[in-house]
Amino acid sequence: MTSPVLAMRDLVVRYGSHTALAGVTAEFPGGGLGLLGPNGAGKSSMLRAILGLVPPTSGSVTLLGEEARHVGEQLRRRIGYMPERDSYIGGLSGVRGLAHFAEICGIPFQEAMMRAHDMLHFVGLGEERYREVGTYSVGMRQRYKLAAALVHDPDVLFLDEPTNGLDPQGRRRMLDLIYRVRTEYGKHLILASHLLPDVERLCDHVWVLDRGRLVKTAPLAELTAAARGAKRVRVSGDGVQAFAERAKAAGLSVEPGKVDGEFVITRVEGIVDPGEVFTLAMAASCTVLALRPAARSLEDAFLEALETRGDAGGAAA
Amino acid sequence: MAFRATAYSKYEGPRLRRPAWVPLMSATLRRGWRSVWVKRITVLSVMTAFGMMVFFYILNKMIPEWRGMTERVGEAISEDGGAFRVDARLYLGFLYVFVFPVLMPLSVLFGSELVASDLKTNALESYFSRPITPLGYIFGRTAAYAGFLLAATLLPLLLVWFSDVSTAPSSHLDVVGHVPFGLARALILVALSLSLLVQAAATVTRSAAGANIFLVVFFIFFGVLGQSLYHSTQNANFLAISFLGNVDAICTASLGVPQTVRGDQMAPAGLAFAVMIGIGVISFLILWRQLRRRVLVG
Repeated sequence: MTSPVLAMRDLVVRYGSHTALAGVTAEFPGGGLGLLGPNGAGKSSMLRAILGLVPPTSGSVTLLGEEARHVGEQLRRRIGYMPERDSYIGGLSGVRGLAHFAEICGIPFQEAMMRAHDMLHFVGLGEERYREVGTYSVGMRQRYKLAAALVHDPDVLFLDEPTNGLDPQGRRRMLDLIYRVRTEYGKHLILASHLLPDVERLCDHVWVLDRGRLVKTAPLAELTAAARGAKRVRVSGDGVQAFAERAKAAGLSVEPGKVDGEFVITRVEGIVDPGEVFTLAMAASCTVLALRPAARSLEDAFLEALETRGDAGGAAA
Repeated sequence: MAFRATAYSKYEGPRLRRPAWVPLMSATLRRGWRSVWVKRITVLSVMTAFGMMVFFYILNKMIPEWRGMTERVGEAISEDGGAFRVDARLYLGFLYVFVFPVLMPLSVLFGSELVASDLKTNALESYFSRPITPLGYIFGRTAAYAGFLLAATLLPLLLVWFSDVSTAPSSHLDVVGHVPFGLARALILVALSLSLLVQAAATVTRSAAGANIFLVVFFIFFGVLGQSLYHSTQNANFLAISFLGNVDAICTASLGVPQTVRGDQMAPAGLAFAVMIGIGVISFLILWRQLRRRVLVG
């Protein structure tokens, strides 16, 4: 079995008396991971702890099989980080700045320059590569940061709010670029964002954070069941439990609904056929009272996770 | 502007195993050299040294006995008889020429902008997510910075010394043989302490202008304070709180020139060295802490 790209065990990060992350334990097998949460949930702190920019107060983070607390030079060369805030070297042109970042990752000067040119073309800044980065517009700086994260050809990309400040067109183009890098070139992606459509577009796993705690971890397919043809079914009769068991035996994922006899039925790699539901209900001697698409978007799942956390917090209080 | 997204290319080339501060150091040197005033002062300094080399050479060709002649003139006009002797005392004079008009302005023009600019543009976040640590960052920046200062001061002085020795009788080496080591000791210590002090000031003030104002106040305030305390107590130890006074004392002691030769009272050499090293260490600690605080624990 291959080791996960990212694993955390009881990760705690504190800034003085403020707890940014309170005992997070989770694993990310690889692909695209979306870190979701409202502002101040701890997304950026988690990214910085993974990168070794913030020392964990306790717990551990393992990245690409290595302990992040002791992130060595070799491991950092395999990481590309796009910070949320602007980050560039003042007084240098785009191509010079990128080449410098590539050199720091061990790429010889000539190759670093070529790579810098390539990456600036890739993100659409080819025509502007000799301009000082300080004179770039907001959108150009976002693309420059993506190029800086990619210039040394990392295995894992950490992107912190990559579409911040972009107009709709620029945002779509940025997402296209990231999507291509992830899908066509096999980069693992860890994306911190509060924009759910961005996460839906780029990621296949989601971690929902709230007030420093991990409130939900799931594959995106499970969370956005509606998109996969999930159904919300309500049955009645003596065989309600038998219906659920038969559905599971048929390879469906069954989650209890909000009322008795209601279930959300999902097939991860396909659509749930209504006829199949009726057949299962008949076999279990149940009556189907209602059958409709489980209209559940990532936003629903996100809000539900936060509400659950809020309820739990309220109950605890 | 056309948004052209060409294909992403995987990097298959070599990766060097050199420390990450090496490219940082070379980039810092390039960055410093782009400053017009840094370039002017450095070139002027090196050209002055070349001028002196040419002067020594021509003088030696025209008047081979010029050293003896000037010494006799010096004996005639000065009480201690060493006024025009080509020895460590003359090199101390040269050292002052390079330290105060070259080293100090260069450090202000070049150094304060380095860290302040990185803080302003948040470049440190990008640096430290790459294979470079705060220690490596300080090392790379300081090595380049101090290297620049030494290239503009120690290098020209060594050129002058070399031309002097190569045009003098071999017995002259016994008189000035220790001079390069003294020059190196004084200049390396001053350049390192100064570069760390300037960078620390820049991280605290977060601006190049703020750092420069701090340095000017630091130099003047402690210089005046040291003199005032000395004059009111007659205790020369108080002179060691003046940065510029310590530079004076260190240069004099490093070249083995007795303090009595200079008219002004100076701080004891040992104390001046200790204070200068202390300034360097404290500046380093401030710099390191500020970098960690401002970037690593955002």
